[in-house]
Amino acid sequence: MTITLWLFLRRSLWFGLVAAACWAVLTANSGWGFFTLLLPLLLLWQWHYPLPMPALRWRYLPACLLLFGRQLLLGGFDVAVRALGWRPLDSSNFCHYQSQLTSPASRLLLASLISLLPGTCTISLQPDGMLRLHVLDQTANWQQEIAALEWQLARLFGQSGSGEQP
Amino acid sequence: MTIMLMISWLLLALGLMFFLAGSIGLLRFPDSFSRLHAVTKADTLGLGLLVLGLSLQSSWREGLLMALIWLIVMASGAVSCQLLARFSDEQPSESATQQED
Repeated sequence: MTITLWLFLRRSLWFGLVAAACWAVLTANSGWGFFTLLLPLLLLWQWHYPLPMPALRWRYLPACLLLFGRQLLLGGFDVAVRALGWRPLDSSNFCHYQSQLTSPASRLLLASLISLLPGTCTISLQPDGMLRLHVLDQTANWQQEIAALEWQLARLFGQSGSGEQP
Repeated sequence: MTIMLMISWLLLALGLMFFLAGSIGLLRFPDSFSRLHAVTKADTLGLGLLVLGLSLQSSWREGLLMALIWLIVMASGAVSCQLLARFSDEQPSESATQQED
């Protein structure tokens, strides 16, 4: 119980600091009365529905961000080209992808980021890590793009068992 | 006109084009899943380019504020895309039109 409380307090401290920094930027350093009311409610919510966050290995963050930024750019360009009719949209379909990530938080992050990758959109995430996706072009090599991002996330969160670099 | 200002306007024009493409995709794509692709990806990239373009014409504090707003919009866009896709998937008429792999 003591360890759980200690972990919660440590996480709350970090959460509070990040939330306060965001609040200061977004509100131009005003409205702190409302923030002091809102923060305990957010912490209470986190206490009741905790999502264990794996420790970050910060040295892998730049590579992960670079890959994601590149894929975000390609994804936007790809969908814009299809919207303008310069690339056909006749082989969209539902597909599945088995995630090798182990922690629920990293799986959730992967599921959210997939929707910003070229031609893929997450529909649901099963508890065993199976992702149901909608892909715009099932003949494209979308599995490799997801696997590359997954590998970067596995490195970032220090998780083993996520396979070799794709 | 300085080079920075020219780059800024170029980024703003590019961002606007991606917003336009996203809106065209919303109208042209055949089903709700494909429309979600258009709205999520093109608009996120479009907003990012707008933020980058505007940041070149503003102070670092305003740039930071816009970058934070972009990150929040990107996160909420990705999550709401997933929620809408799940909702669409649960509607029998939409899913039945496409073949399972």
